[in-house]
Amino acid sequence: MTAAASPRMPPSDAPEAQLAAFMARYDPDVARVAQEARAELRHQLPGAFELVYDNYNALVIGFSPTEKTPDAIVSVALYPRWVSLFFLYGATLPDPLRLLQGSGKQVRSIRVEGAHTLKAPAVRALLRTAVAQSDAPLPARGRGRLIIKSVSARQRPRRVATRSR
Amino acid sequence: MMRPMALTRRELVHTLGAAAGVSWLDVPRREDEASTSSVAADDRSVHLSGDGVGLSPRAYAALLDELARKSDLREDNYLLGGEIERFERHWATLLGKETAVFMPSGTLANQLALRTLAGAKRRVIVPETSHVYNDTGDACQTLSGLTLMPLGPGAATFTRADIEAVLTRTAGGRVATGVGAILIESPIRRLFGQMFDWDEAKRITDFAREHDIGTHLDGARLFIASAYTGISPAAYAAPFDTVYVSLWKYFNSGIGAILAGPKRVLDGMFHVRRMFGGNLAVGWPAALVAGYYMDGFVDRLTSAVRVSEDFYTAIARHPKVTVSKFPNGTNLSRLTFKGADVASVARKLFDRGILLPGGSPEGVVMVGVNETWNRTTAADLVRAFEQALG
Repeated sequence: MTAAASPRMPPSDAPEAQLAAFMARYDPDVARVAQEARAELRHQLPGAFELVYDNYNALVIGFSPTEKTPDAIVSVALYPRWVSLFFLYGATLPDPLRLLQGSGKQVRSIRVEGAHTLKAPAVRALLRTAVAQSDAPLPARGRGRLIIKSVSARQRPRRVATRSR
Repeated sequence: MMRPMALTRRELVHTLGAAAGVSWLDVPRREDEASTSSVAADDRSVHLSGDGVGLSPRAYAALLDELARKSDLREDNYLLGGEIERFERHWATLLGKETAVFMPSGTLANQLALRTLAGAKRRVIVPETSHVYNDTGDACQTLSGLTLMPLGPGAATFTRADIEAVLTRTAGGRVATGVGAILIESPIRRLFGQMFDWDEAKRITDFAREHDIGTHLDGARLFIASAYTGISPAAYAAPFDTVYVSLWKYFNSGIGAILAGPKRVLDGMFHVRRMFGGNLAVGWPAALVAGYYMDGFVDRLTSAVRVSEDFYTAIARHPKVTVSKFPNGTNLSRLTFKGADVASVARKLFDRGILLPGGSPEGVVMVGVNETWNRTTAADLVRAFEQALG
């Protein structure tokens, strides 16, 4: 379902406002970590487009050299209890400190605890290598746009359910 | 390096998860998948001691499996051929030597280098603080018939003048004998990673060459020195005939050493290695793991050193912590805690994934920089210490 067709947001909302609304459904700590991660990735991947998918499982922000989703290099995914950074071609990244999780053919991830996770030299190195491996280069100048790509009509709860007494 | 080919149509359909409205950017289908799917990723700790990353058995096994699957692995046979041959060639190039030989341990590498270089001249000059002189059970004397002549008691460096004095004394002996080899160790573990003075080392090797004396560098931690000085391993190795580098200390291989040098010295080493019981049936696992960590190691450790230097600068301002560096040192420093219980601080840091080694009753802790410092930032470390110190 496209953003325009979503019942969850009016089509006139600016993407930033829409994304803020998506994040507001999460626990404040999770949202804060995601905002820190997003800010740090904008710093480390200048010019990257931010492609937002408010999916069934999670809210995902892909960082891509172009507006095309398959070009995305990494993504930040918000789950009810934590935030993950996915390296979408992480299986080929050298990872001497064994930070990357996952055993599939392509994707690897790390758990994000805040901006500091992304500032650690080992994670910076992973990001640098991921950018270097990307077929499409990051734009040399300017700042990529934030694009709401899709919003799922059905979504898992964004917060951990609390038991009523 | 380019990324691998784009997804196949089948993979694309699978990962798009269109029916569930799942984008391929949203890979895990279950929230817990990301945190449980890799046995290799079982250690995120920052180790404030040790030279290597401290792979757990599971992490080591998983890495070995991953590397074996990714490479066109060829087994060696008693350390001959296959992966070991490729590994040795790589090392020879890296250190700028004609050839290199895999050894099961550094202790054996040092001894075999010295006995071969010395030839018929059985006296060998070594640093008084060296591993060869102190920590090998007199193996060179007992097993190779060498007479070790220690110089520079308690010091990281001895001088060309010290060598000249030994040669003069030797020449004046009533029985003809000779100095056949000189060993220099740098960095020196017994002196907390201090380095042999580099300019003096070059003066000594120049002198040795003029007098037909072999030179060997015990460079077990040579790559650590490179991260601190900017001098490449090859540049360090160049003035010496032979050089040994450890494969397990910070290349995390578990076992092994490399001995590099000229063919005239090392060509027959296969037989000597076997004579000393050093012919392992296979060495490829160590070669795979060490080879993985060798690539880019100096750059990565240089990055970790930057984290550590920023941390030391900041934490030294804390009233309960004193930082002491060693002159001409490398990756070891002393932290002294005053008015704080080290065990309690260590426990609190442990809870945050920071492993502080044990301290003395006086509150002195020897801290070592290794690659795991790249898992964090100086600011995070300082914050963790400040909270642990109360």
